[in-house]
Amino acid sequence: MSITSDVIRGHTEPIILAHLIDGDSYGYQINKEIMEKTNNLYELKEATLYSAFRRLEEAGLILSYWGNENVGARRRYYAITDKGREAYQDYKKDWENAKSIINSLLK
Amino acid sequence: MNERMRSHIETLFEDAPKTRKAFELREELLVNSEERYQDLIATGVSDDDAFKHVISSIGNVSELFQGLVEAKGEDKEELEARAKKIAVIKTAAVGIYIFSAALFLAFAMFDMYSPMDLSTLGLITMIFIDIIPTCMLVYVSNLYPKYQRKEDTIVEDFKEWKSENKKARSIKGAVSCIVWTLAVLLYFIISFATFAWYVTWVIFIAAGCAQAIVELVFRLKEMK
Repeated sequence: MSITSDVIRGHTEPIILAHLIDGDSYGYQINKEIMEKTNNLYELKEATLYSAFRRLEEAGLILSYWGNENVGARRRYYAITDKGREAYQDYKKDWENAKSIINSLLK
Repeated sequence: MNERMRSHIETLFEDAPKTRKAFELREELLVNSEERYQDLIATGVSDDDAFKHVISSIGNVSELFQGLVEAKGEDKEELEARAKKIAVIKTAAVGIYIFSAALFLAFAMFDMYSPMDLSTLGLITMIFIDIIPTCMLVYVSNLYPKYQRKEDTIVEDFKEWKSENKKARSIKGAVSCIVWTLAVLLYFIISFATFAWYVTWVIFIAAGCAQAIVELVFRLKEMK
């Protein structure tokens, strides 16, 4: 359990990018999807999520904009950029590589 | 909006820097927390438990604030380095002015012992040498950086306004420096060339006019 949550936290940025590839989204929705995909076992702390958003935005991998909900407060949405897509592909290759190395080392 | 949650999040942000980024972050956190809270209530969780769950899932916000204040340190160093550079260039420029004036005086002093017209030669040398420090001063006046906003606050607005003013003032200083240097040079050149000393002093009145025009131009620019 502890290894898993550490690994998830360490991959916050590519996880966000992966979610944004399917379409624009906002903080809580991304976290909700993470919970759904992991059967409610894992979620990211809001603080971790937002610092990742800011780092990604500063690196030009994502953009943010305020939604125009008619009811209640406005949400802040995030969208992936082309640079972000590239970074995601690179990261995925990297991860596959690391995974096979760790697997062969743990055999 | 759940008032208890709002006040809790507002307390968390009490120590945050008062910037637009921090304000937006707070809004984002408020909206997302509210939605999470409503979802929990909808699944049958009690008010109290939902509140506790939402609060605990926020995590450590201080790591967020760190990113909002950093950046400042290196910026300060850069500014200090630039201030030093400006001071060095200004000092060198003044030094060269004094050197050129001394050279002219030396030429003028030896004039009487020489068959050549050393005074005129000295004057021309001085004018040529003075081109260098004048260029240096103009360069320095452009070196003042346009103030880069670090944060969106009223204080930053004021700093930007102040920096613009400082830059305008330094350009104005350089321009009037050029005007008066040119006036003095013209005075000597024309006087030595024509020997009409009784009338050439009019140049200084003209220089005064030019100075007034410079002042006026800058005032008009400021008013825009």
